[in-house]
Amino acid sequence: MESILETHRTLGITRTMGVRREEYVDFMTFQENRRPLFTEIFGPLLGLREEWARQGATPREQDFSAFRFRGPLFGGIPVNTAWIGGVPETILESTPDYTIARDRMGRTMKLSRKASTLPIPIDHPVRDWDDWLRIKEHYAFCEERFGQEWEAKARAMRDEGRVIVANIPGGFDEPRQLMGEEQLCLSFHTQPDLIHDMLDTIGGTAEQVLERVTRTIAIDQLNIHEDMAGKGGPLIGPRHVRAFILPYYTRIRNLLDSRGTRLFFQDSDGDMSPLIPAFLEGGLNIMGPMEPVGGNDIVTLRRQYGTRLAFTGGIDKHVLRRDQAAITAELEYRIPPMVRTGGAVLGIDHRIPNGTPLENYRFYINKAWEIMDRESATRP
Amino acid sequence: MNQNIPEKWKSLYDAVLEGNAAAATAAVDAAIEANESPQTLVDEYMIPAMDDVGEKFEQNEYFVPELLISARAMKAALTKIQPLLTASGSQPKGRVALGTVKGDLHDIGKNLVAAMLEGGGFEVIDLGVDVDPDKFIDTARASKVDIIAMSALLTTTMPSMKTTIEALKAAGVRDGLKIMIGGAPITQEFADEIGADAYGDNASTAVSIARSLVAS
Repeated sequence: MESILETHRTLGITRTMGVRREEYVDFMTFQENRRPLFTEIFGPLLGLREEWARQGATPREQDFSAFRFRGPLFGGIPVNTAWIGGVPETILESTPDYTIARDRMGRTMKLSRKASTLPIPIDHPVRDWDDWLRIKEHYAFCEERFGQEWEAKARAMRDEGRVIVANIPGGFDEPRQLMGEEQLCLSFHTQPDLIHDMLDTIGGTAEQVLERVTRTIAIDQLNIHEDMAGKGGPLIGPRHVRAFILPYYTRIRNLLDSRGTRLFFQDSDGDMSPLIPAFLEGGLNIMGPMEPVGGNDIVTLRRQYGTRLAFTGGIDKHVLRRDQAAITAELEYRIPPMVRTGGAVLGIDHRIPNGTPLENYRFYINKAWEIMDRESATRP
Repeated sequence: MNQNIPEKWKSLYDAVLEGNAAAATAAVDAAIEANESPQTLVDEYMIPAMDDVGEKFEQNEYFVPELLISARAMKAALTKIQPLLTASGSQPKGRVALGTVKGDLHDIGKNLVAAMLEGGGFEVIDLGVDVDPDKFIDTARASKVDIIAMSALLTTTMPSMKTTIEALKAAGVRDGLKIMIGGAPITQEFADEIGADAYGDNASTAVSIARSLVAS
């Protein structure tokens, strides 16, 4: 195994461009609603491809090119706004059950190979100010943050019609990567200045990088990865978001707003509903992957927030393991309101779970299009 | 919210509710100096405070940071009181062995449940993450636990809960135990399907469930 992330990479699926960037941006900002967007956001869970192979899946079904989707392709600008440098990743131990590695932050990472595609940090580099000051240089601005020919590559992706995206570290997620969830949550109360300094540093560097980028390249969408909620709700509350995270978001949003960026996307699992008003204040206008089992019902949220908030995902992945009647009921509930209003890249909320019969997945795709086509045809 | 906290040591209740560890230990010191019963401090001030933390958590008034600092204050106070409780022969409300099941390395949910159970007066044996069924069996035998609590965050590790319950049955220790489960992909339906005694939706409800399991 060359990298602890290798398993994750092998689960990639083949995507084709269904819409160009202009249509996607207009659709997700509710400016125009030509036809629905529908995609597979992540792909299969570990082991599903083998299950489907035994059920007679064709090669094109195995790489998902056989299925009908309609969505954009994204083009990430090759610049880095997050951690830079550090030690090269080293595999420390690998067994059939798990792999242990040292990552570039110096963390010990463990991957449970039969259960997951993403490794979990076993330790973290920061507990206090001294630790932070020791590693802070990895968040400083430097020329190495700009990949080779970044501008030409970005232009080429834009000319292909890809949605041009930039990423910044999550205001919760990046400190979590450095401290772990519990230490971070405690630190909001016990070391607030430390968290402020982390986000001020990260925000300053991201701002410098994106300021240079947007002198010549228009960013269509800013992506922020947070993953800060479970089905019981978010790990932190609106108070923490407003005090710590929104100043960081707002700083970047103000810059990008002035340079024409129209989409601000946050990726988080779980029930984010208590935090949505706060994040709307911070300028977010797309959230995903809207996990029904986490309490995120896109139909209810659309009624609540209207055109202020677009979604990705939103369809319950667990329904794929049930019968066709359950799949139909799920799709008949979720799809029509989204077809009427736009602003949603529909799809199941996470990876396709093991135990999903291939026949069910085929049915799901066909039924989803049947409903989307029907609703599109009758839409005023 | 508890409306009937006696005024005498209400500062202890307030300190735990507000997550002020220094104030909690100071209140305990003052109470012990005044010959207050350690059990009274736990039962009438500290556990009600953590119950109210749980209630605020369920109502989205408190989130994980507040829960953790309250649990930390509770623990600081308990550290002072525990030797006195032990000397007086006081027993915990119940003994719980908990862990994240085999193959799953996530620990935040498990740790929150552990903190809330301790705050609720339970003795908690934390078996960690990636816990083999044999470890649950050995602990059940060696430590005479009342409850086995299992956590899973991944869909792919949910079957480990079933495997563990089957192993506990095969080892002949299932009958003397209650089993509660929880985690992101877990549902009541799944708990029923695998023969668990209870399902908890969050760390706060885990305490009331554990109390009802012990009472039954």
